[in-house]
Amino acid sequence: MPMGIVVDQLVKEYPGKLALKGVSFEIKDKRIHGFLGPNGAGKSTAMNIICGLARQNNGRVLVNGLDTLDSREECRKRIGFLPEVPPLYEDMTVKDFLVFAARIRGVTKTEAENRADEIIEKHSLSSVATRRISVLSKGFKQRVAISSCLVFDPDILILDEPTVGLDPEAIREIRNLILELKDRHTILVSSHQLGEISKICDDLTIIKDGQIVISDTFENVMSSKVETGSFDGEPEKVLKAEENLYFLKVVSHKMKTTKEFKDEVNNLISIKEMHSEETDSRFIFEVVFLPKFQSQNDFLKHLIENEYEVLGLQKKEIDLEEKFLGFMGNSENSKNKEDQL
Amino acid sequence: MNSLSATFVLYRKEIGTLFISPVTYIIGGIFTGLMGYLFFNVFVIADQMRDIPFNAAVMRPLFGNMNTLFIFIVPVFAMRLICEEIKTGTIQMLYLSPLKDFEIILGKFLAGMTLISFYLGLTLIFPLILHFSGYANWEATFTGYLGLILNTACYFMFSFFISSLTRNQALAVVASMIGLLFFIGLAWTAQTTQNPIVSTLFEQLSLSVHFEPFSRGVIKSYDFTYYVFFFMFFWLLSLRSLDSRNW
Repeated sequence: MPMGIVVDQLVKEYPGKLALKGVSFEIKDKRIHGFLGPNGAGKSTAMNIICGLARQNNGRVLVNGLDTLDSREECRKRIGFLPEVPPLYEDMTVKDFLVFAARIRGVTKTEAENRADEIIEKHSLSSVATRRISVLSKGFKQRVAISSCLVFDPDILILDEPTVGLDPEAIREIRNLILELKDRHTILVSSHQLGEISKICDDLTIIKDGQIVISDTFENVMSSKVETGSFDGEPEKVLKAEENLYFLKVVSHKMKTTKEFKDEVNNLISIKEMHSEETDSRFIFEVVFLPKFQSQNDFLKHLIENEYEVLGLQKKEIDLEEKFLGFMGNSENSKNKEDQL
Repeated sequence: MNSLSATFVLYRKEIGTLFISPVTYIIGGIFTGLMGYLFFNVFVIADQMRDIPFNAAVMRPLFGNMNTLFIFIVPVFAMRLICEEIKTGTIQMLYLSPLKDFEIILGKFLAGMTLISFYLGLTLIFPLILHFSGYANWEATFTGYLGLILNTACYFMFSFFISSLTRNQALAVVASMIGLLFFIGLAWTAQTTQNPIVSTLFEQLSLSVHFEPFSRGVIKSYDFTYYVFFFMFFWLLSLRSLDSRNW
């Protein structure tokens, strides 16, 4: 039986809105799969369909080889789902809640109590096990919610925005918890916190307007070519896109406006971002640019000849946030082009 | 573990939640206090009305008063059992369990009825007082309580349906109360309607008309049938409503 989740040509229509337009991607076994997209992109709809809380209009979802429509109950048994708003009975104690979460999923009383004790120990909840959930901090509540998804030992864990609204310490704890779970569970995580996703995910799917923008391993997504913004140079002359972005910090002792600097270097680089600052008759320029030629020698030579003091020149690392925004921008551009056509 | 056991797990959890809440005891206290006050009054009035059997003169109005109070009590707990779950999202936990929608409603209904039975149990002091005063008619008392249980079961199912339609808790409570008052008030509308067919129709649709024989110690099959149909109708509507939210 193939393990993991296969989402195949999923279509979901709500009155007046097509939420998913033929979405396909694969979540591989025992890997952490990030699911990114802006609000309203269709992430939660897709997650609800995968775990059986909503029904698609077309397409199919296979959970460990089982079709969610044909084997709804079997699929549900294999999935632990944490919605964006964690479903917690706040007037129950942590232990009672975990026992209930297991028992409602069909685990016997003795086994449920054993599993609850085990999870409480493993997830460092011992200090709050007998306390009511309503008095716990947000971080603890989220840990309890994740624990309740694991207490019946599902193969797959689906987490919708698990770190939203948490403080940095709690985010780190939840991140570590998710990483610990990777060995035993297939995990799908949606999040707006791209930094978090980049720290934990093996694979990544980006969705926008109900369509998949890209779905691949994290490394492949990061190395894929996408314009990360608009350039003030001529795009056709730009060597390659983002992997050639450079960061430059220079000081000029002559009075220079931003425009003058741009005009000076226009033949050598394409400026993406630029900040200037004047301190003690010194003009500091911070520039993110794409070189127009393979070698930087001409550019450096030009800077030195024009009496710039080069404080730093280095390749700029592209993070997931820029990549994500690039994909969103590209998707928007292609949509505009479609609209124009 | 089968789904019946899961229903029992849900029932146990709901009972725990209801009986841990101070609201349950506050409402219970107000209900019992109010009933005690009314019992004292009807007891004094009945003592002056020699032509009506003493038990009937006391217990019938008391059953009527309890029935009216439950119109305001049941929607509050129905809201807590259904609407609050929808609002907080905990209903998703139940949707993802092996429980079917009807089992979710069954577990919650049984918990609600256990609470009402607890409240009714508190009022047993009144027939016991009559019993020790030598005026007890336990048959009529039994049918009166049976009528109250059937009535509150219908109240719960109607309120569950209303609660399943909205996330707004206040709206769920108020709409349920208004709806239940409508079903009680149909009997009064029937009396003011000239058309005998419409009048009979309104009368037969009214909850209070079918409750009245029970309070007199009379069980009629069509009253019983009415309760079963009323209950089933709103049970099915509640299921339909939950199912439509689910998909």
